[in-house]
Amino acid sequence: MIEMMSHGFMQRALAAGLIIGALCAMVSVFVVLKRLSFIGSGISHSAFGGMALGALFGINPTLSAMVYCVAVALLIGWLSRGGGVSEDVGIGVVFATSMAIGVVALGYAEGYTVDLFSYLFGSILAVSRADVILAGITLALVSATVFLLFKELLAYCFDEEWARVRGINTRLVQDTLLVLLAVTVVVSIKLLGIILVAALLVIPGAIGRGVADNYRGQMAVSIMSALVSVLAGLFISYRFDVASGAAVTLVAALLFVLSVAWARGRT
Amino acid sequence: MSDINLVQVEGLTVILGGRVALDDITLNIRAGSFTGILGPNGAGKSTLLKVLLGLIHPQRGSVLVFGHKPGDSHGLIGYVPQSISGLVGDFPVSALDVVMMGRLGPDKIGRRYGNADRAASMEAMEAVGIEGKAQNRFGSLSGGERQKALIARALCAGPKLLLLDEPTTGVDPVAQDDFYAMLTRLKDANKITIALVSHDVGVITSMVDDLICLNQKVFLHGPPEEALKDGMIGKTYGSRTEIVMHGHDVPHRHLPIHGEGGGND
Repeated sequence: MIEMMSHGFMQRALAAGLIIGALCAMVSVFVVLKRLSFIGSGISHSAFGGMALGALFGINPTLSAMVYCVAVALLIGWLSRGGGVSEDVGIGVVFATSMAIGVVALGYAEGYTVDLFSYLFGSILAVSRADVILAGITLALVSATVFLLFKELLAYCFDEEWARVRGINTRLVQDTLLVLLAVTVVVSIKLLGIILVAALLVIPGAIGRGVADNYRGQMAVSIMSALVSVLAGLFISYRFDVASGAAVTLVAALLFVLSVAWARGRT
Repeated sequence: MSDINLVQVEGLTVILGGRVALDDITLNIRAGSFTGILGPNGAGKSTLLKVLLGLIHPQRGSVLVFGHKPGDSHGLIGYVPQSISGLVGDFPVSALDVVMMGRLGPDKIGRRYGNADRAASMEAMEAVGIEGKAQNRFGSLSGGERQKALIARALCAGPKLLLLDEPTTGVDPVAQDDFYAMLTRLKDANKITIALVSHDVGVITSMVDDLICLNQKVFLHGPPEEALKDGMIGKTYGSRTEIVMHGHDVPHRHLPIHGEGGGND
């Protein structure tokens, strides 16, 4: 363990991992309550297109992915409110198209060599100091937004019509939640991967929901399970040389199975 | 009850998904009244309530609620839906959490619920008799208790107009009687105006001051006795109908006359 922590890349991966774990766990509570897991998956896959466009035009890929994913999130929000096609069709089209744009853009990105496997499944070697700082700033912004809008977000998830009756702008609440989802996805990609970040957007919240009786407990259990998954996953990734996103996801999945068994045993 | 109209609707037409849900209807709801809105499934009853709440925007007509356009008076209106989505079963909130959602408002964004919100919510729960269930998970309550919690949610912001959309769906008959008695009590105690959508002919005609028979158009708007007098309920339901009386001149159900098919209500 001490030897593992002596590496700079591992210190950065761990710091980013703990921040990302808390971030994903917080957002995942609302993903589970409002059943947005397909939207989360759609946004994370779309990030590939955003990153590749950045590579093609010489823009920082994280920045281009941020802009692209926020735009995709707002587009999905608009589609879900009756933008002409059904929500699931819209998400399916948007994320497949984004992946295709990514493949084409990377093909034309001259002199840009990218380890596609790391992008898709995460790598502990990929995290820079700037990534840790960006994740920290994102955590502060997302936490502040969730804290300030908590009762509106909860009411939106529980009974959207009622929130509208009380004069809450549910369109704005929905778009805010989707943007939180998008920025969380983007800062998590290097460590967890485009494909596997979606797991941490769902599993911690689902564990919390299965184990706890109220939303406060759900949030606490969600954060704890995400942190345990990240810590154990990063250790496994270092020790056995596997993609960090895969290792974190497998630990989270194991915790989820245990939580389901525990919840069943309780009833 | 006064002659002031809290709700004034004129020439309202709503088209939903290419289908006419409400066709040129004109009606009003008097301050202090208990108004029943009666009609078969698909008659546009829920649509009418949603127009009054500002949730559906009409194609034509004028709608004023407390003298303002719908949606501008949300602080004065309480709403009890037929049910809330299927998610509630295991949603991790207590009955008190749900009731406190009645204290939401644009002016409270960015602030936590305070002691005043908690006290008003508990008072509303006491008014409907479920204060003992405050900490129970909302999904674990019986159908009747859930509806009472939703009434408490509507009441805790101190509304002047309470709109209820078939609030006793899925509630057993004994609890229904209890529920309607409670509504009358709340109306008198809080001096609120109530508009109740139902297809339960018996309950609605025995309790209300004004009756609106609606089936895309308004077939009757007046005291409930008129509905019983000249077969308006049958016209509303689109069939020749007879009212089955069960003592005390209280109609319990309407039946299509033999050979016409259909069911009872």
